[in-house]
Amino acid sequence: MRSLDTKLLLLGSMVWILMAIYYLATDIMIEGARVWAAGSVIFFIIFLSTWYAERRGEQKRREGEPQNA
Amino acid sequence: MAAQEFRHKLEQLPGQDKRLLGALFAIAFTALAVGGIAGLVVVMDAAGFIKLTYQKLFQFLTLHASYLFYYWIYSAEAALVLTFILVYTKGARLTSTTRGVAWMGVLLIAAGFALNLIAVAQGAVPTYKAEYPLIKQYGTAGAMFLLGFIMLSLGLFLVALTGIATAIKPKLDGVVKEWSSITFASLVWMGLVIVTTVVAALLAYVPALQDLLGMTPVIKNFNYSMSWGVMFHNLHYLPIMGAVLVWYVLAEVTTGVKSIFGERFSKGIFSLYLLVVPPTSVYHMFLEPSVPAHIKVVGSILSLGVSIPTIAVGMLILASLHACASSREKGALAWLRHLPWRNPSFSALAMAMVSALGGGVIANVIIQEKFEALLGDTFAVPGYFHFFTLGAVTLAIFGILTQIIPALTGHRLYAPSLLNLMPYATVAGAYIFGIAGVLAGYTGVPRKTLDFSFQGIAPQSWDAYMVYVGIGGILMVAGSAVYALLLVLTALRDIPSGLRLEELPFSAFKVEDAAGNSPWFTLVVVSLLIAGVYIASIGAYEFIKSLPIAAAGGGH
Repeated sequence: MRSLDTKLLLLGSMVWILMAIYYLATDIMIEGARVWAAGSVIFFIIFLSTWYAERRGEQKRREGEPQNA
Repeated sequence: MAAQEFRHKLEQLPGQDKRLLGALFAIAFTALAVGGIAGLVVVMDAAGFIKLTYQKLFQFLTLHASYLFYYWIYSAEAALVLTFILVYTKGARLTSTTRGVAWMGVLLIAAGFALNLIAVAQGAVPTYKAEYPLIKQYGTAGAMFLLGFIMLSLGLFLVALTGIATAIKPKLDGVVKEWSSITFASLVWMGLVIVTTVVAALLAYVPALQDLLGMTPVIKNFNYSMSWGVMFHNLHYLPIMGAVLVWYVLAEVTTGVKSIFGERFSKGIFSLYLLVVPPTSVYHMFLEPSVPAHIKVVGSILSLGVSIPTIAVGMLILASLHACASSREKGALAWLRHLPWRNPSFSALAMAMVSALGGGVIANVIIQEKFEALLGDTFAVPGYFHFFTLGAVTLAIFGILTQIIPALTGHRLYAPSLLNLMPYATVAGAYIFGIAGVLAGYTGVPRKTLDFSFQGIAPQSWDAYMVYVGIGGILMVAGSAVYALLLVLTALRDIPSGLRLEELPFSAFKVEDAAGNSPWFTLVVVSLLIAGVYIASIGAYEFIKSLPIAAAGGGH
């Protein structure tokens, strides 16, 4: 995980899951807990996609086959 | 990216992409017209200038709230954020697949727009909240209204999906290692849209629609009010995050100023939006009896975090402008002369920030636990949020469209001098409307009814405040309507008397200009903001305490 992009996305999804756990543990609002949990999954998927894209991109650069825009 | 490069990249976009963005902007401007006219009618009635039946008035209120907040702001910002991804991400382009997905999104948004309009015409007036089970009373029209919001949500989801895929693809291709701070912020905005639309919105609207149609809701014992509250909590971050992203871009394309703190710092600041959305949500539950007192106290403290990212981005822009402009002329305010005040985009940016400052002070008062309970259902709320929805957000959108529309169409900018006056008129209106509205709210003017007379027993001071609300409202609508009209004319026709974008004033600062210059003005503004919150909190407390306590009613 080299880029700041992936680090911040991972941090974001962690905050969302912590809030989901907090809402569930304190039983203050199930509706909020559902959304924070789903949100953490969505941001985790965005993080994973970005992380994977960076790895593949790095491989392509190493292989000397950068794709031109 | 300076103005010239920004324009050049927009001009280079393929015709298919320009048409896609144009369709989203067209939906946004149509919504602005519908919601703006409806808003004018509502504010004139609130001020007592005209009198409509209750049903008619709520039809206009529903159109105003739904079409400006949902269709204007989200369609315009979705189009802008997608534009930023295409312009600020090296190698980013729409493919036939992503373009197709985005077009499906546009069509769904348009279908939702039409359904909501038909539902209101048929008598459904549930305002923007579409409260359930109250909406049941409208029968088919109520179902159509909910379906309209579901289609809008799905449409925005598809546009956001397109944006995220478009941003990630250049990393996959090995073209980009690190995104620009603007691409990163755009991606976070799109991610928040996805959470808000396919999770939060559908968890509220779908079970309600199923129940209304006599089907078994997908969630047993669903609580619409709570689900909608969570969705709205997510939802109301998006316009302001989109707006500060636009401020950031506007500062660069009108003055050449980039963040003097660097790209990584900006990225960290933008990521704060992602981090503060869930923890600040507790303040929506101050009136819930089931929520323990200690959690409300924590919520009240956390709620102050709501404005941190917005203040941080605003200060970052201000510090960068001050430090760079000081290279031309030192002096307490002399540096301000070197900013491009005759450029309508810059005037829109400056007035958007001035409006956000006023709104920020008042919002930080109202959001406190004790005041929220007192003022949450009063006119203080529409009083303060127009500083944001119209001043901070809509003006920012206008400002960037002043750059984007001529670049996409190749047309000259129509009546730039007149255009340049409109942000000032609009913000003057926002301040009159906002201050009068907030004071009206402090004296108890309600916001969820539009009959303020209460059969003649309402305090007379209410009328005086509401007249100023009316005057401010008319000024806001007039200023923003003229700006929007001139932008639409620019989009539709190339008028020879217009100005080419490259002829607009541009400050041409460079980051190196900031060397050795202290951006102390930013500290002054932050201090003013903090002092303003303290003074406004004390003032609100003293003002409310000084009001006579009156009660009317009967017992058993």
